[in-house]
Amino acid sequence: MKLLLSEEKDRYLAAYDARAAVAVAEPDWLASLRRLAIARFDAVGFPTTRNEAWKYTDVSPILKTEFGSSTGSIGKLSFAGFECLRAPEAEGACLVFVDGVYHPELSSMSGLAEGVVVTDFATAVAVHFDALAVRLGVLSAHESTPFASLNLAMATGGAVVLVPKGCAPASPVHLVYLSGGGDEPVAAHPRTMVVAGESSSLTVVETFASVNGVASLTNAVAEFHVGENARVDHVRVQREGAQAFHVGATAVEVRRSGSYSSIAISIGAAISRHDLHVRLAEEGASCHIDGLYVTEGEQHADSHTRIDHLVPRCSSRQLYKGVLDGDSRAVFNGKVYVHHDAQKTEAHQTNRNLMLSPRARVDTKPELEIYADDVVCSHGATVGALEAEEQFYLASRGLDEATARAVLTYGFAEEIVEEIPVASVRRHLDEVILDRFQKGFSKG
Amino acid sequence: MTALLEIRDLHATVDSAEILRGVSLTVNAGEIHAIMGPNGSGKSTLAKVLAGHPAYTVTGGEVLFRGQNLLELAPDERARSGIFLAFQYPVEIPGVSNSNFLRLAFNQTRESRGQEELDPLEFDELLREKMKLVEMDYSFANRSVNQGFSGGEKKRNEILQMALLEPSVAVLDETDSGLDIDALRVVATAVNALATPENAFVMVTHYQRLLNYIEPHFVHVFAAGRIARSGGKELALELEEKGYESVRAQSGSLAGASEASNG
Repeated sequence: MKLLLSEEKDRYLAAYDARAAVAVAEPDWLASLRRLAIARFDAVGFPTTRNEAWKYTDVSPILKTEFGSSTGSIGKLSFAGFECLRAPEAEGACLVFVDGVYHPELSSMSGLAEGVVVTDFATAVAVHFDALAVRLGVLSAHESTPFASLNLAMATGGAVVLVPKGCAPASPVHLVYLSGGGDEPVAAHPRTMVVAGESSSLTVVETFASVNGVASLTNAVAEFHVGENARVDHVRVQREGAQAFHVGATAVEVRRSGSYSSIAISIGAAISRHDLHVRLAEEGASCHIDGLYVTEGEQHADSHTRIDHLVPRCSSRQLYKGVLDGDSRAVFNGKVYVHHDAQKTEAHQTNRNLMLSPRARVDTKPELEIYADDVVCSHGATVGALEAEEQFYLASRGLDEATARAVLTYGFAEEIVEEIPVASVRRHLDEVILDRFQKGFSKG
Repeated sequence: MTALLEIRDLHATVDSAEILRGVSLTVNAGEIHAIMGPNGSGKSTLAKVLAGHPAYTVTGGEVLFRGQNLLELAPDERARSGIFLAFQYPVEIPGVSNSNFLRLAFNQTRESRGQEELDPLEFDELLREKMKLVEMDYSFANRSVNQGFSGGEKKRNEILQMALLEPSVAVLDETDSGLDIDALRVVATAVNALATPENAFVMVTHYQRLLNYIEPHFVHVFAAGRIARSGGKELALELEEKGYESVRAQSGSLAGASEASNG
């Protein structure tokens, strides 16, 4: 497997060397993390479809594209150009990155609550290394992918969010990752680290979008440390352009009685993959992870999730929905792993897919692995078309066929979107999705 | 004068079983018709066939709406031209708010009639007024269509839609089934308020009690896929007393009775 893609791999190894050669001296702890990460990447190489976890997602189109290093140029982009992407609710806590490079002039950090740190990766390395050094790469090392290793080796841009004990900022933190800022294809490896201290509560929105139509690779990794009794709401919106490739991993660990909720939306990119891994590490921890993927044309969207119930009395709920049109393809693989000691576990997982085209295809694989005996677990997946009875109901009220289909499809997706806790993000997605469905149906 | 709705010797099947076996019925403007009959006699099928439900196949006969062939129209075209079916089991549409759905239906219908569409604010005003008519709390406007509604709330929502869309012919498919007496009164009051000399109602019902609140001009009794007997409102009372068996005994030779009674 390694040999097959060695040429492509060498290109990324060369990019690593090039970066290391010009990089400002980094502290030893970071430099050694990077060396380990690139060695791990070198040993494993890029996955092929013979690798079980990548069976349905062929990354060779990503690897065939030659990406340059990011300069973070924003080209002709004006501040107003992406204003619609910014959540007004997060006005005082918004970081903007272009191809992985932090842009302070597009960001605002004027409204941070007392004690809360929201900063770019480089500043965090210099100023908040005590929090960072002990955590960076720890969670993403579990269930790591070669892409996540590459991210750790290469990441220079990204966000670090630290919320102290008992702190509950009223406004969300918004991290905007833009791709395709320059005229040439570039690869970016943004890194997010969120640490929610004991009994704190926080909402984080990550938005991934494209500036223009140039090809790009976003290889993003986020780590979320949810402390004892803390609560984190995470909204992840991937709506990059049609030429973009997106590979993302989110690694989460939840401490005693803490809770992590996430809504992961995937609408954009030619090929996208998101790995979400949640470790319920102490008793009473819970997670609620929902997702929505909407694909059309030749798009390919892969959602891989894994929830580890490591200890007793934790609960997890999951609902992932997909809407597939055209010749698009989606993958859902959700594993719930109940470890030997994790008695009194409650875990529910559902995946529902709405097929709008006979040519679209979804490969869904909900998996339960249970090694405890006193648990309540359920899982299921459905794949189907729009309900004839629902279509007739709308038709009987005068809605033409295309409108009826758009309304029903929107309603299907809305069950996820309406749960987004930040109103402007929710409304904006509403419009994007409704527009997509109407456009899709007017094609005939 | 052309009848609003003219059904002539209508035959229809579902899954190749013949359910309607020669229904003939004429409905004029200003009339309220009640269709009664035992379970399985085909009365709900008639309602669905008129609305164009795709599960039913018309195998014979014709239906004229204002003199035009109704059967060649798609369900949405029938609705926009003025046919309304109040469902026996209204469908839940999760994720779509009632008000958005109603505004969409309202404006598509208005547009096809060459009337001006209402913007959200204007529509909201109208919606509030119509919701009062069916005694629905305004909070139902922001909930998903029929989702989590009780049986009675769903039926009120059907009548609300009827009130907004102002059809020429409204077919109420067992709207009274499962309603408590208060809900029944609300539905009946709304229907009475909406009845004009220009429109007509066809109420499919299992029970005579609805007719205490909405007085029909004609009562038709279905048996074995056709109208077995037609009469005035006193027929309903007779049925209440003697049951459908008395009608069944007479059926077979009375297929043309409806036309004779109201033609």
